[in-house]
Amino acid sequence: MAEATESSSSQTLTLKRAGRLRAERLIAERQRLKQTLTLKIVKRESDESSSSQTAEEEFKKLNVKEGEDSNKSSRKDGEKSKKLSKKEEEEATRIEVRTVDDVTLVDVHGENFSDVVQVDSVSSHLLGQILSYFAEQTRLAGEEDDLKKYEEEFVAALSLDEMKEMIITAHRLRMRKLVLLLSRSIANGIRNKTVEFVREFFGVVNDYTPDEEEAYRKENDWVFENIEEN
Amino acid sequence: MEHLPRELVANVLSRLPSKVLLLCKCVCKSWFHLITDPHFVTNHYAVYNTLQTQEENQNLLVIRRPFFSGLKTYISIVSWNHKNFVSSQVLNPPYEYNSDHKYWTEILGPCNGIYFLEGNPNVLMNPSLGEFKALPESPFTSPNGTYSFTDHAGFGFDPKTNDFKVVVIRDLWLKETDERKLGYWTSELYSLNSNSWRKVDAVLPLPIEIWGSSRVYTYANNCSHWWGYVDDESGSQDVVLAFDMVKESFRKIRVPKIRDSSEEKFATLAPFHEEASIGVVVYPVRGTEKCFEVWVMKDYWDEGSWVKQYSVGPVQVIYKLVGFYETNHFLWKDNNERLVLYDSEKTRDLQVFGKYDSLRAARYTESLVSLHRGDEFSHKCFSCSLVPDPLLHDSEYHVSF
Repeated sequence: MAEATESSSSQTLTLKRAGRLRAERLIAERQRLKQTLTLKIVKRESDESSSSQTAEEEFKKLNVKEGEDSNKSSRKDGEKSKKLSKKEEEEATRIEVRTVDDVTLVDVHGENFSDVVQVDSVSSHLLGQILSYFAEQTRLAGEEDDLKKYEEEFVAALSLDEMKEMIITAHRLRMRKLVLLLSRSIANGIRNKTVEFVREFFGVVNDYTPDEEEAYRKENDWVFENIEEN
Repeated sequence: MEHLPRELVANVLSRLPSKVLLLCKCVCKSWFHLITDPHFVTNHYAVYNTLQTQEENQNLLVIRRPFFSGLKTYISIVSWNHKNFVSSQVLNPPYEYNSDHKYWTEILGPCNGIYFLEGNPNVLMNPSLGEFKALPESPFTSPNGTYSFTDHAGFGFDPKTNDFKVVVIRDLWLKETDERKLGYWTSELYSLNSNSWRKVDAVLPLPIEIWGSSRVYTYANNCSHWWGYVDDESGSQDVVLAFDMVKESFRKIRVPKIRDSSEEKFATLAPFHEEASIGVVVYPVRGTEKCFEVWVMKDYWDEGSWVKQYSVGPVQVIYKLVGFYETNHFLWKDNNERLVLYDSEKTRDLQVFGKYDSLRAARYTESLVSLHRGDEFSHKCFSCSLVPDPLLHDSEYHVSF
């Protein structure tokens, strides 16, 4: 189910929930062609605390300028980008923010026209942090030690649940480095936890019978020792 | 609250050590199938161990006999990170093998995370899964009129049959005259899949002699390697004997004149994974400050491609090479039989020691590859556990000169 809406400057295609898979393929394709991509952050019905106004403020805090003269350039997938000359600026991706009808649009510009991809189910707070990460990656590109230190601090400030939410979004946005960083951090976070904790965290239903589970635990008792009780 | 798609779950799980993954198998049936899937196992081995290297977590599997008396061999995992704190855990083998009469002399591995310990008894193990399996004894005796004095083992994996194999070559001596039936060898092969030994039909490329058992596990291109020599008019010529685990055949690899004499210099075979090839580390027998050379076969299949890659030193602590990994991590024992790591000009005392040249070390990797095969009864693997090492920081060692 896709409906097309026109915006003032360029053609945009709004893809609803059902078209998400197509959207992801589209992102990859546009990225490859260095073309524009617009992320539409839709307010969740259930989440009354976050509003598109707050989201806009978050993005503005990142010094992401509106309009054509933005000097901020960054690649969408969080990869290092070179320091740009005037010439290269045209080819680089740019982020633009504007609000249309209660919805904050974050445009990630490449060359030509843009697509709008729905990125719902994420709080604007976390998305703001993702873009922070993204911006820092660019700023610190090439300085390994500083980058490492930033990454350590970045994940230290996140709770396990926040990491979980963030990795899903980062995955959709094809931000490979962030996905790997979060994978490692989540792994460290669940390392010493009980089976019950892991089940709850990942939202997995236990389909073993009590006997089956008992048998497995008995056979591998050394595995279940020294576990945190929460 | 949304939940992680399978791809992300796999991403997270492949960054966990084996023990935690064994726990995760209990989470639900679909996780059980994910964790035992061969693709996941292969991927986990690469991802987890590369991550350890990236995070500068170093882990070694070490065997040593720390006491003057008794043969009891300690198997331990020695770890340290950039914080420079060395810790060690001793592997507690199952009760039957925890005695003075059981000992191990060489570590062969890791091969997909599996280690072969040459000794009495010969053992295959995956320490990260707590699996410890003694090989059955070989049923073969020496041919009539002969006996065997020394044997040398090789260990590897056959990807065609998905089987771990151990090859043993034995020398032959004549009973009547106690003469070495010169150059004559017999060889046999153990297969994990069948849990049994069989004779190797292929013949060694004679004449050939082996200097000694490999201190450093040199496995490349599905082949095991031993450092050997051939006697001719001009003396002993160093040579490499290779055994192909897939084809089950032997081959001789010629080596240029790397050292003037075996009495002046030690030569130890070592693997060079970046070149998918083998090399030799050559260093003097005597002296307190030694330089060592590293020779590599640039093209494994071309005998003429040996080059001297580089020289290092002089370094003070090196006495004998007891391990090697990752291109430039040399594990030496010093004059006090203490384990020292030398990499890029830094030396690090790892605070473990062994007597009577018993110290050996290899890179420790976590792996989900199990030694269990089909019929549990005939392939009984014992479980072993890790406990803190009581001998670390022990100052008992003799000063030798």
